[in-house]
Amino acid sequence: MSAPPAAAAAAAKPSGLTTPAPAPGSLAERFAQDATEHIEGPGTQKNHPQFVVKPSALPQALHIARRLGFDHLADLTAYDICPPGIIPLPPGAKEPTVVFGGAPRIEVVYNLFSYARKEHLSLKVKLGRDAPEVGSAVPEFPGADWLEREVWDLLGVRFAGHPNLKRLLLPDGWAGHPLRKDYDRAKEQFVSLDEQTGEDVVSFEEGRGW
Amino acid sequence: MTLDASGTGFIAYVLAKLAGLVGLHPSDMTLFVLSAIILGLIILILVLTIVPGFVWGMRKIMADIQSREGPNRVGPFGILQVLADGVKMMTKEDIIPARADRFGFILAPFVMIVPVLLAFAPLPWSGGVILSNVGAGILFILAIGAISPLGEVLAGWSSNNKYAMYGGLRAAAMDVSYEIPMIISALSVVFLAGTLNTEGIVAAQQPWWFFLLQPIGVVVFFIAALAKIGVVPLDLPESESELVAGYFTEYSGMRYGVFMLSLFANIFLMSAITVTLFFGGWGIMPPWAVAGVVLTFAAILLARRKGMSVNIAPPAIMGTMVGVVLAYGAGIHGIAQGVLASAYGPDVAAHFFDGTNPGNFIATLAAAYDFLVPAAIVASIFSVIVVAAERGTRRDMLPFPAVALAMVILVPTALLLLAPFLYVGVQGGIIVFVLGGLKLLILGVKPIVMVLVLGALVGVPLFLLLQATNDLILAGVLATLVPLFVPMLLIPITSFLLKSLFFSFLVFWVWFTLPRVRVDQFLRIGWRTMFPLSLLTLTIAGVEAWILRGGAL
Amino acid sequence: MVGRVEPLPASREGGTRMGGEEVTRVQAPGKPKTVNINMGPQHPSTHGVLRLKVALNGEIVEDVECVLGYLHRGSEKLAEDGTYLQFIPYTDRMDYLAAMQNNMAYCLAVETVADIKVPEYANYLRVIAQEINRIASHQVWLGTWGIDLGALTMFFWCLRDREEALALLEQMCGARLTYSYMRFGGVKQDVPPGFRERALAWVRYMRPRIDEYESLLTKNDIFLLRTKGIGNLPKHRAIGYGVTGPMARGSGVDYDLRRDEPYCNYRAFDFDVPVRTDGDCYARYEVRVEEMRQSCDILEQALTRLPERGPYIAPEVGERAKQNRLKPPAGEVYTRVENPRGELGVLLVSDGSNKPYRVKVRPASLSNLQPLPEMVRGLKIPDLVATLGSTDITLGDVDR
Repeated sequence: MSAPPAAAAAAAKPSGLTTPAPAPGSLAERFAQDATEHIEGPGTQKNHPQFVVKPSALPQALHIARRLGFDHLADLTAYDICPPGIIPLPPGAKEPTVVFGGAPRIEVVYNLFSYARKEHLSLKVKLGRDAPEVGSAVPEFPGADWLEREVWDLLGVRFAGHPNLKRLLLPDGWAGHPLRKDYDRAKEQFVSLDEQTGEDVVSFEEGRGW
Repeated sequence: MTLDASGTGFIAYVLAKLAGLVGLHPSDMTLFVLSAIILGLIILILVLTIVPGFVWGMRKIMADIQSREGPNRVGPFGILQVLADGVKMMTKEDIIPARADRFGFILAPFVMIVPVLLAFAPLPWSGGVILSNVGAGILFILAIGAISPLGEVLAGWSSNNKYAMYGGLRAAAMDVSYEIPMIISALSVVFLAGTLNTEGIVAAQQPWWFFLLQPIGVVVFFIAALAKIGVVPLDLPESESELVAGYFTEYSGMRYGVFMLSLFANIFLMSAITVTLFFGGWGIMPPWAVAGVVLTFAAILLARRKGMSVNIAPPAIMGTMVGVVLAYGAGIHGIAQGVLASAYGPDVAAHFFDGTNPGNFIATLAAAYDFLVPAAIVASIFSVIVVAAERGTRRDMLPFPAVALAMVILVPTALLLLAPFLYVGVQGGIIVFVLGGLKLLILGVKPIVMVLVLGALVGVPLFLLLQATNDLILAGVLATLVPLFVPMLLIPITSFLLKSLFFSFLVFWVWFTLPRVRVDQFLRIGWRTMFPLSLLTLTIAGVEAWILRGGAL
Repeated sequence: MVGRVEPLPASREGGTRMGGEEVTRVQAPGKPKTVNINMGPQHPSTHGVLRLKVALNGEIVEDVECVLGYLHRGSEKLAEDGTYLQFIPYTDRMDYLAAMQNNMAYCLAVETVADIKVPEYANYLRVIAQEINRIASHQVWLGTWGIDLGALTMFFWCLRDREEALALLEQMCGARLTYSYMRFGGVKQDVPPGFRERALAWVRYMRPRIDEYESLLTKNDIFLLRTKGIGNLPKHRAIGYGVTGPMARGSGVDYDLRRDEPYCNYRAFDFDVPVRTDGDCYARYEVRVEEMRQSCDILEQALTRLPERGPYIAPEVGERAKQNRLKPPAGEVYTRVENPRGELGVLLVSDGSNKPYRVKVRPASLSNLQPLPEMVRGLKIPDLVATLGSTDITLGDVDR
């Protein structure tokens, strides 16, 4: 379960996780110029240019990208990175990998696309695992509404400024965020229906719900 | 006493004869009561067989439209499926929602079904065959029929379910939109007939069926009837894709079954009323109508077989009808008699053209032949025009006029040459038809041919016997004793049934072809289109009545 | 602005829930006019287990809130448990009406991260499988939408013709719904002899059938009344909501991944991308019907050009157990394919092991459903049903 610290240090510099440089004259290159003060560095996406954006500057970066012509927010998602030996994982959970180095974090990925220029751009923010929060993309892309709710639901990332940030897929009151690597699936939760309010009620007690 | 083809009189006559055979001489009153009871039983049995037959026929028609087989497991051709469904519904749990209004919930299905059944009472099945000859018969039917939407509202309200409530409210909103055009268009028929009595209305249609005088009225009435029945495109109170099942969402078991029963009884009732008001009731189809229908269907079938767009059907129907009516006016009479005489001898021909014999099917058929030939020519010319118009896109349609011409000339000729056999064959066939319900209509040509052959096998000896005795009264008694000839009594009823079934088929056809109208769209159609049209047709009816009565009011 | 929906008030006193829908006593005078109705999760026209909280003023829809998750099976979490190969059957069950495209999207992501070259023959098979599935999926949509509009017959006509499509797919992969046909670097197996002729015969049979479908609806006045100008979604809103596929093309977004970002060998085929600018239900209908025709074109080209024989899977990956041992190098990719419903994207993160680190499927249905409240606000209940049907969502795709 826990890898020796030396191994973790060795994995700090991951291999194979590189992103292509934006082509000269492309929108992505212009984005790199316009948003240069918001960019922390290159990202890791293999097939589209990706930039890591400072979490505080994400709304500005999205605004710049949309102004440049990236009008389609194709996807908004996140994943949990737990380098080995730092976070205690529940039994049966997937062995942590050594490839992703650095601190435990959640990376939120925005995949943008420009219909006019047929170009891709990917943005990424790296957030701490405890109470991760980033600005909402809804003011720029109304379609981000449910996508952000899903990320909040499954990974527990809060989006500041989201108009209605509640769980999308799981019932309200669900404990935990299932796509976190340390989510304990062995603890069953039971959902039942409140006859009066018509809302879902979640409980850990067996027999109360299904 | 001559042979009366129908009515209580005939039954009373047969009863008196039978009683006379065993030495009894019942009073007229007894005869009347007995014959009324027999008539009532006949109609009750008819209604009771019609509804399950309807469900089965509807499912078969639906299946055919939808490229399926339909019910085919329980009984031959799945005919017992309805019975199985009935048993299923009766044995299902009868649920009354805890928060429903129990009284209204239980009452609602009856409020739905009772008016529908009551409305059958003044319906004339044949001359004299009527359960209750109410003076203001049509008024009674419309008034009692207007109660059933109350049942829908009551069911919707008492279920204590929002979907049901919406269904009930839609029923109420729709009711005021279609009921008024419906009554006004029925009123125009009353103008023409000069009576509210249903028998009187039918009798008034003897030369000209009212749909010819009231083409707009019949369309308005039929659309309103569709709304009253509540089938797609106008099944808004039910609309299962929006309101789950509308006003009967909460019903289960036989209570649900009662709603279904009232739906199907209503389909038949509305078809029958349409026939009574606009299509001559139980009157035997005037030959030109037979020819028109046959030609129209032949045209449509041929067009479809040839892959032609069905949109040519309306002009084709119009053209055929015009041609048929024109030909009727011309009235070339001798041909048919000549053909028949050359085939079977002058006596037979004379017998068949004996106008004093009202039940003579052959006379009708032969008379039809007079104008079938010119009608066929007109129709063919018309179809040539249609095909020429379509030619650019449909080269495969070229043989169409030739086929149409051949068909409309050859088929009646063949029918006429086979007339004596058909005469008995058809009568045998009618029995099988009554027994087999809608089967013939749906299964197509092959069973009809089988039935005709079967009928001829049984009927030819009887026909020869009839020829030998040459005594129609005795033949009538024989016909009563040998149930094969009961159809002689039933010919008008059969005509009425066939016409009603045709309109029921039309209802099914519309049901399974069209999408559903939105509720506000229907209300708009009801008030902005159907209502003014019904006023227009009422005005036309007034003018027509004035002309028909020679300027007298 | 944003498709924000005020949470609906809980049902009033005396309300109870029966069989999935809320029952309340008839309103007393003086109370607010709004009636709240739960459409679904069990309702004839929510196309699965979608729940809509509808606020009604009479027949007029004042607001709609979609409640999702009734078919959420946690596929993305399950993906992290098994090997790369073991996730393919789960993709079948996401958009179960277009399992081929789901297979394709996932395999394309794995192939991109692992740099696998797909043989030409396998590409042809993939295109054939996907286009048959696209027609079958559109048939289900057209049929069920017909039921939504009250045209019951449409459903049976569509399913009658879909039967042969399923039989063809069964010939290819042995299953009728959950195909699991694609493999990394190719497909599971070669097509049996005689397949080409049978498929071509079906394509020739389908063309007049599509005209037949249209004859039932396109010129029908009631159908036009029910669909023209209903459920409007302007182009800029469609793009803003991330709406893709036929729905976006009905709103004037001229974009099709098969043409503009070709995967497999779609580059080799000649086909049109139907686009309408009205953005209403009728435009979406026209686009999908025309897409069925275009799919027939693609199929005809692919079937006639399909080589007699060839490797149906990349030899460097191999079949069966070798597939299960696939270990792509570490990396993150976002790939997308054109699902019958729109853009089906897969964000795949590989950590170099034989199990995916994270698989995120970007379903087309989710984004296509999102503008529903905006599209139906102010319309009537039947329009809500018609508009929902015209979005062509699959709840397995929305909830995953």
